[in-house]
Amino acid sequence: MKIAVHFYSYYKDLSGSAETTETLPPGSTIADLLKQLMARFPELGAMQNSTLVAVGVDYQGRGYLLKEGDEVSLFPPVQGG
Amino acid sequence: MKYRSSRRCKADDGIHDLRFAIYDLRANALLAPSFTGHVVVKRQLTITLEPIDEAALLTKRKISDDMGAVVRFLGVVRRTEEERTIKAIEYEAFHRMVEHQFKLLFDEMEKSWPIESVRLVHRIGVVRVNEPSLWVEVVAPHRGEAFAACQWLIDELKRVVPIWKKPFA
Repeated sequence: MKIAVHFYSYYKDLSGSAETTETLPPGSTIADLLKQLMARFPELGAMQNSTLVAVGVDYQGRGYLLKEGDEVSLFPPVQGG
Repeated sequence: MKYRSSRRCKADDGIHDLRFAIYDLRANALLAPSFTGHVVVKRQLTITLEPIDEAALLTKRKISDDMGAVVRFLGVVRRTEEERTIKAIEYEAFHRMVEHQFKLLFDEMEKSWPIESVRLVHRIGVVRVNEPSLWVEVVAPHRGEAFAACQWLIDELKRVVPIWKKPFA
């Protein structure tokens, strides 16, 4: 399945792009997606534990089961205000 | 009475629920101890590239006769950021998610305090030192509720609303 991935804040700099697409086998989780992304973008590796993940507009944990068409966003801790 | 945020921001499964906040209302004299009612709160959220026009916001304020407290908060860009002197901060937002997360926060406020209205303006783009980046107004019957709700909203904004800043020297 294909998963659209969006990067925000300095994750865009670390990955060198604002978005990408990853292909994963059915039954994959966000943890699987992150593992694949960290291999492709090693600069993101150091941020692994603090990375926040949203599917659509809701936060999700590493165990979330991805579905075809999911839009995943990766970003560092938020800093509004 | 304890207020527990019903939402989680999952940084890491199970172990790393950084965003799961628990507030003990008894620990804070400002907080309302026994609100159980439900009112529909007037809400206004503005995410804008334009400077915050506080005077214009004040002229549009509406308060019913039962309200006794208005708390306003202005967040201003400081000259120092992580011990560095800066000239400005550029704010970036994930707009769709910002709107959704604020809706969830306003829902929580509505359940937790008897506030009449909440208005929030957050600037994005470049905001210079000494200019406001955030304006919040909460209207409630009493000051305790207004202060508490406003404080909680700003704390939660800084925990879950996807806005980031990039300082410029």
